[in-house]
Amino acid sequence: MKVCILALCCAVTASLMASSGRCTSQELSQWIGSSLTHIEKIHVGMTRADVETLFISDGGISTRYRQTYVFRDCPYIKIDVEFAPSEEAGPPAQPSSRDRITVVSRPYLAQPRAD
Amino acid sequence: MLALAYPDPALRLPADTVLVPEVFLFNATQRPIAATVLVDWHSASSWGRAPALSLTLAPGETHVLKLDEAAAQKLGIPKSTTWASVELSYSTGGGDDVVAMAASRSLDRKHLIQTPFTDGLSYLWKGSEWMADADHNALITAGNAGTMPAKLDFKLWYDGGAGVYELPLRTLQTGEAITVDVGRIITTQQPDRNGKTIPPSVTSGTYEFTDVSNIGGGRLYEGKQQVDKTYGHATYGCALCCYMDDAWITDFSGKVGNSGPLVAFGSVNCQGNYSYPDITSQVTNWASGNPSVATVTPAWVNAVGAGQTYSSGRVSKPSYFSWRQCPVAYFYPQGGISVSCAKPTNFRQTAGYDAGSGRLHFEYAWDSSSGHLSDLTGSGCTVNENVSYPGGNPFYWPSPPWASGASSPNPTILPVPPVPGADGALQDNHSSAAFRTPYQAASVTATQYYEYSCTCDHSSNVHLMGPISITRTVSQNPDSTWKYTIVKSGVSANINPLP
Repeated sequence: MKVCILALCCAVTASLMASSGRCTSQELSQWIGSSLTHIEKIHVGMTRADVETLFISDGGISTRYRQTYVFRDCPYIKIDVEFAPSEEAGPPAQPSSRDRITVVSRPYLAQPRAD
Repeated sequence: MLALAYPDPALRLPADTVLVPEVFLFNATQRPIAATVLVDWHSASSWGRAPALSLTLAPGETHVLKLDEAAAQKLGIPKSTTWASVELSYSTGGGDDVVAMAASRSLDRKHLIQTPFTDGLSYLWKGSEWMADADHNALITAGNAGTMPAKLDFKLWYDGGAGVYELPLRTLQTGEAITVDVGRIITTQQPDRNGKTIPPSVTSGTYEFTDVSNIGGGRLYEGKQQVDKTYGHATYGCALCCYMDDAWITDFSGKVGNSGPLVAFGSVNCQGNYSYPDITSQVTNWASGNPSVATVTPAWVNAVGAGQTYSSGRVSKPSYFSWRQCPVAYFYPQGGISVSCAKPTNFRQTAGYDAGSGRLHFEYAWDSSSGHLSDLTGSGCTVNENVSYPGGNPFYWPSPPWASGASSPNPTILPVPPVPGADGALQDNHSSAAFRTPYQAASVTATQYYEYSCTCDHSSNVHLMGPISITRTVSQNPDSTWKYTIVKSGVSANINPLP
């Protein structure tokens, strides 16, 4: 299945990785559908920790208030998320796992940032 | 003080004396002058204001306004009223345009009571000596020529200043006046507001009165008749008004986006004793010398751009131009305004570690030169990174080992939009473009700067930190597998082996 996921990423992003073509179109479609179902569960009011179960930070600069994430299973799938800081003690600019989502974009495809 | 037809007994004139009060107005200029005369009359129990005259004085003309019993009756002044004040108004051409005098002569022409006009108005008057004994008495008038009610605090000093007699605080409406009969206060042992009386042995002293509701801005006038029965004199005394000789607005120093209060003060000279009352509420015409640096509204400043300017306003006050009379004049207080830009400063790395999967994670923080991060918002400051790669734009990652067509803008300037300066911190993640097989050795070193830009002084891409090298290397292991390594600021991460 892992191979299939990698293949999907390559297919979607027209990557040149050699694993392209190991899954059928139906399998790729099923994977996309399954991934979107998970991704679309991220919604306003959830925490940063919730986001980071499915996503990791994209390359480049981010702040506590605004962050671009790439999907853990495929770095070409991204979302932009804005947070409201939690009120717990600590450095005010330091991201917290309890920060709440205030805005979340629809998932989109883009090259991961190497930065 | 104008003595009306039936004189105050305190003047000690013969019982059947009847006076003919007259006001003389002389136009000393070569032009016609429109003038109006108001008569503010008062007695112990009542007061009033009556418009007595409105005329145009021809050049060189002298007009006599008679305020005898008949004229007073026409103006509605009660017969029992003994004193009045006369207010003359005209459009001035620079002062000394109309010469005015008021005098009350007795019908038998044996007595004359005369007082001068004054253009002095002040919130505080300090009088000369009063005398009150068997042959002397003092009558002192305090009136309100302002447009707002005045709260009168009237004091009589005696025993070389050791004793003070304080009349009950009293509100004087516009045009209202009172006359204090000093001799009567002593002989009747009338208690003051503290229950204190002036000992009968006291025969002289001084006086002062204040509009305590408008320190620095009151519009009181003063008049005094000192009666001397020894020789039959009733002469006016000389009080000294307190005048303002300077006014200013407090300086303001701040960052773009700051705002704050402006306070105006005056320097008031009362016979050499200075006080510095807050006159902010009396200042009008507030303005800024340069609205692109700071805007000024009444008693408030908003800093909008870096630079120097000043606040200004206008206030009318008893002035030093004629120190015995303190004519009201305009003062134009000013205060300095200095506005500077807050800038990001003390940019520093606060964390740097291997985030796994060949990714580096760094954290940075900075301060504001003003000490307050929020000031960076007003200064329009933002922070970004600027990463350049060897080669053209875009930079194409060598392929293999990186994916064909993988590229980065050269330079890469992120994020878009940049980080607000007031955030005070950012995180920076460094990952890699996708790889492709067959791998081959390659190394790319990028050069990174962290920069700020501030709209307040049009600064752009000013380096906060850098140059920082970010080196990405793909190399072969002894066992023929391949690994990816990234190094920045002494921190490294890798993927070993590459899949």
